[in-house]
Amino acid sequence: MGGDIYVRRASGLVRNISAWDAMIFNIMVMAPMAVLVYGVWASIIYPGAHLPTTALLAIPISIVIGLFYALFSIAMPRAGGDYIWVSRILHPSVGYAINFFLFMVILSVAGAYIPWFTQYTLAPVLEANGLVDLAAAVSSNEFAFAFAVIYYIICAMIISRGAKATSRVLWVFFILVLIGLAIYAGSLLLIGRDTFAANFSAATGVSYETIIEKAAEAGYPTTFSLTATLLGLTYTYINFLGFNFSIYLAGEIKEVQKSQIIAIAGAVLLFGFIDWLAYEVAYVGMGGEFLGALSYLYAIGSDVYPLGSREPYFMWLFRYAVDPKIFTAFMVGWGAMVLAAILTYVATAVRFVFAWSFDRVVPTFLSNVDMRYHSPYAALIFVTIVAIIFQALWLWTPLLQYFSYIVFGWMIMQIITSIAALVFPKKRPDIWERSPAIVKAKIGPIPVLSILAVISMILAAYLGYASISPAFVGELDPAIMAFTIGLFLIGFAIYFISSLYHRKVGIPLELSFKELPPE
Amino acid sequence: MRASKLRIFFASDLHGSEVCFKKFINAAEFYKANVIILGGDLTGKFIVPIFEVEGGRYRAKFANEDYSLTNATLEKFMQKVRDSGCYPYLTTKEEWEDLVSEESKMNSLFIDLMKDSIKRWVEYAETKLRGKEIQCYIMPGNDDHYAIDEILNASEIIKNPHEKVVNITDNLKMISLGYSNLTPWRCPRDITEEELEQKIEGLMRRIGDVDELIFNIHVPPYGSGIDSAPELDENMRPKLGPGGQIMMTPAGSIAVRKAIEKYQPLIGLHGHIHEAKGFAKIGRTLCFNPGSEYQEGILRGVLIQIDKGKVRDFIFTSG
Repeated sequence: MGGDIYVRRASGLVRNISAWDAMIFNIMVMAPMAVLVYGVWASIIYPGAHLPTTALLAIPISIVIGLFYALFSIAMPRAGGDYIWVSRILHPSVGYAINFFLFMVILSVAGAYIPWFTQYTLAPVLEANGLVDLAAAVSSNEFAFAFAVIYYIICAMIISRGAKATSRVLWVFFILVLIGLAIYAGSLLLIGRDTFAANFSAATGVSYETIIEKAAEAGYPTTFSLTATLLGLTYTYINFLGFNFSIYLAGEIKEVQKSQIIAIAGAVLLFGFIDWLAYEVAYVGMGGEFLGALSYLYAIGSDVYPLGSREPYFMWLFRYAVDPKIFTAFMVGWGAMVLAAILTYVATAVRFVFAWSFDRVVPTFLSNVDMRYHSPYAALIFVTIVAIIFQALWLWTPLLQYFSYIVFGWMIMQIITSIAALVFPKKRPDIWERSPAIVKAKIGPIPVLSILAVISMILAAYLGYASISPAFVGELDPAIMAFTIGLFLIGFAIYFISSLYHRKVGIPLELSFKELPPE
Repeated sequence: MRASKLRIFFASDLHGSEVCFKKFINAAEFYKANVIILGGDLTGKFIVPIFEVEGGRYRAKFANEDYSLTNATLEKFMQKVRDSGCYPYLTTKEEWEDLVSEESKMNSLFIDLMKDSIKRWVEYAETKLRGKEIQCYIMPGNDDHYAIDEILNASEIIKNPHEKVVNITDNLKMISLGYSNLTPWRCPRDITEEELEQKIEGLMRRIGDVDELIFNIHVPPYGSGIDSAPELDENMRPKLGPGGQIMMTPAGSIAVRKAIEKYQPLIGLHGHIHEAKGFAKIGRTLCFNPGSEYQEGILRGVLIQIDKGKVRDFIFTSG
């Protein structure tokens, strides 16, 4: 016992998510290897961008913003993350509005990711193995919907077993992703660009060199430029969004002070490395110039483009580098990434609904909990139903295209959270004073958290602007912009309706978040 | 007269956290509550030794951090320790080793520190609540040694409702028990289910017919969800399921559940299981467990609005 504390026999709280579990959660939220899709769009929007460099540049930016979120999470280590912070520091309605926005966004993204599994993973694998009819069948919207229903139910079953069980599944997916990445990187480095070029030319009937020549003739810059690379960084950074999702699990994380830093910084570093490697080996094995040129020809609808209506996503081009078995093995990892990302979105959305219900913003039955596994089954059923509805909307209506400006909305969220951090020491000195020393660290007279908040705000303002600039989204659609802002307003409306109801029948909702005076 | 527009604030399991206790007392005015009830487990679980190393300098280890203190910083540090639910104790290396080696001496020290702390709390409550129309009930829980009862009972302002029937209003009565069914830790007020049943029945016999009743019983009803605790193995470590998840098990009292089903009080106020914050409906009875986050200095509670003999609204607070 020595000089340590003396403990008498008594019970205590249990937190069961480790720093490494939380890190894997963050990585899977970001969907490692999704850059094999996003890289094409980055090449199209910013011709001349050197993609591997953008991945390296995105790492320090994400680390800075990640540290900001980690410190905030250490100061207020509750499940709910920015919902709790903003609610307590600014106003509960603001906290609810940003959280409602994120809820809608993650379920819409989940809806978009289901076709990534059926159409982007299953179909090309079946096709590569000669099962062309089956590939066409799994590419249908009906199959995607049926798969979505089954997979959302599987997600619900996994999540109902608790946070640790979800973590275990994510670890399995992560290992599959790493195996897929190793196959992809190893193969491309081993076979070399000449073999890839020969295979591509033979399979498509258009030579590798012709692609580059025709793109250059059409105006594609055949050399990389610093300006395009810095602009392309915007796109790559967007791939990093979600590196801080462990803030929503903070109430379940062991030794949160140490764990959040490991989880967030570790996720950024590992994800950044995966992004960089995925880009770099594509450049080495397939050729950066060729990839940019092929993307460009696709974007301008050139007659020379040899892949028909199919996009030149890097993972599909990998098919020209290896035989179908190796391609299939790689795609298992790619598919695992997609499924894991969806699982993290559903798990996060369930936590949101549970928290709202507990705060009585939404009906209380949504916080019903299963006694054996302590899982919030009512919130789980609700989120599963909403996710299935979103899936149908995504597949059969244009409604979810209205989520095109989610990055803009996401950056609004980040700015609001940054403002909350800036005013934190003044608005909530009680919590600030009680925070661990690492949170209260200062450079001169200024808290590090405030400095990070300002940096986060500037970056968010820039990225928010860039995300709606004509280069990024084409002509700005006022209806979609109104919808994006409208999601926040719907959040406010839900909060205020609920608040009015509670004020009328009994107790103002705001009391739930108010800090009691200790003196 | 019925219990008209009554607002109750209930919290539990402060386990020595001084800042949480102060917040509890201040909750009455802050939340405009007529009645504040503290449902047991008042005393701390830890002693933090502070060693004097040389004249006016001290060292201590707390929350995995080493502290080097001076006379100027000592009191602030001690308050920080108290606020987290621990008892600071100025000692020497020799005395501490002696205490650690002899359990009876350590237990005796614990009791002294608990009593000092409760005395300080009662004085604080009396200063803050004197002259105000606020009913304040503070009850010991299963973790609390009997030595603190005399301090609680001696107060003119706060009332210790343990094993008593009290009238909140003309029509609203409350029975209170700080006991728990047997726990793996064999705490001072752990009793068997049979004894718990007898205690509840004994109190109910003293009540007679009543429409509006509150059960203020530290241990929650069995299988209600607000009694879910990690299942422990023989080494007191949480049992893990096949997926690595912590297995939860009901740890509440069967006797309490039976009594709630039988008497159907308006509300049940419970604590005991810190991680089982929530509410449950058993027949017409709404049972609450606000949970506890005392180590973070956060007072978890529940505000309940009662109007014309019915629960009109409630919210959990985290202040």
